[in-house]
Amino acid sequence: MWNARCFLLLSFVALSFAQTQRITGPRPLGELADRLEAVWARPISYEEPVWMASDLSTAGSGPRSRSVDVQVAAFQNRDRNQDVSYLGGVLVAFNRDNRDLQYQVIETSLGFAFVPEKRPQSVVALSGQSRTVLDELVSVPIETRTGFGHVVAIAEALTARLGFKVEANTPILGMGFDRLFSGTQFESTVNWGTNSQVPAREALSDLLLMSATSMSWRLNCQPPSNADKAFCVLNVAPLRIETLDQQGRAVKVTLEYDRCQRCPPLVPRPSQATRR
Amino acid sequence: MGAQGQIYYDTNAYYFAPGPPAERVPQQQTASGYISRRKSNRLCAFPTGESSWAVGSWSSLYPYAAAFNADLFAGLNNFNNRQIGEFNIELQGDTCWYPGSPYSPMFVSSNGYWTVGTQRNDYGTPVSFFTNTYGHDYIGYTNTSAYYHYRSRMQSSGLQCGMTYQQNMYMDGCGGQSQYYGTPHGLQIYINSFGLTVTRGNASANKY
Repeated sequence: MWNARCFLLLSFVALSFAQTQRITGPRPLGELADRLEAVWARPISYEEPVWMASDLSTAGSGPRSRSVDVQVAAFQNRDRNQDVSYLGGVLVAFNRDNRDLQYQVIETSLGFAFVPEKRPQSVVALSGQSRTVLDELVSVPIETRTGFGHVVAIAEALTARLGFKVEANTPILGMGFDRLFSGTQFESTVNWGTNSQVPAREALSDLLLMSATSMSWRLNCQPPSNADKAFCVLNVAPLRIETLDQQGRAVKVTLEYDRCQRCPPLVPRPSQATRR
Repeated sequence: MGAQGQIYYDTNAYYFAPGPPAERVPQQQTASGYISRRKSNRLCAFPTGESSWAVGSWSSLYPYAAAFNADLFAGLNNFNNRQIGEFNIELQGDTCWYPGSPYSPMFVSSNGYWTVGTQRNDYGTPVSFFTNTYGHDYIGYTNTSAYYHYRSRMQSSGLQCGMTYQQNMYMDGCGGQSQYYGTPHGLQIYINSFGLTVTRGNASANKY
């Protein structure tokens, strides 16, 4: 079950002297979550606040650009006990440079998550949104669904609660998500739901604990524009980790069935020697 | 067999399932003596390739994922009940994705498995029983909203976007080592202003 911890950010000195790399874009912490997840092989989720129109980029294609400085050593870190301190350092830098958007890192039963703090009262008054999306209380009826069907049910519960659309999405094409979730050869269903109203993040964590494959989420929100209302997308996906192929080239592979307990035997992939 | 007794998998559909002749291997711990290890050397055939065809239906769970079957080039063999797996290599990532997109970049996982001779729908229910044929392999978008989002952008720009993979198929080795067969084929998913085109090898499916 959900067991959140907030971390104190005490990495000023280390950050000041460390070699850093700047990540700039609409979702710098989201991009950082992708990159750290790839090298740490550990779920690192990312969430956004509900944006206002003033958060829209000039191109109108997403949130406006921001930057974050990251210690280069964070990408080379192999000591999992140091992960917290590197993430803390990132937040110090991000929160210092983005006064209107403060973030915290919380530890979930699955890994870490970048979660926005409550926005300043002046911003809340304009957006009408005082809480982060996944802090909202939801109740999901206990039913038999596929893995992705459960994610859809959480998104629908959030939509009903918030009054604006929260979509469920998985970036895996075809049937991949459901198989990775169930650990079975074919899409199989599982009984799940919440017995009472719980924070959506807790419901999502509880659901993903049932998965045969480690997963993380990206709650990305689209600021409102002239044509479209604001909406959020709850992307849930397995980890894509960096490794080397047989030729020594860096490649990204999907971490599959790493949490299997009773997965059926699957056809082993041939060694490279038999590749034609 | 090759000139020096080497097996050339690309020219021979048959080979003796892997494993050297039985040899004595010293036992590592306490007891003295030897144990013998021998892998199967019974004849195990593999297809020389396959041909894809669109079933003509789409997933009942995900309406923008098309169903494909594949006919194995089997010669005189019957591969029914053998297991097939896939290994997909990304050639071109998701070009529909853009910085600021609320949808994460799409990708294909390599975790599809099929049993030859029985074609199953997305719930695993058998729907047909063609000999030396496997399926359904569903390819396409899981999220209808994401598809509409990108199609709308393509309608505005008049361009097309999507992703391309190389799909390598392998078959179990009769209890021995599994083996890739045939030549890898392309896997393409494209969105343009008209709709969605999904291609698996020599077969395509469209939805407008």
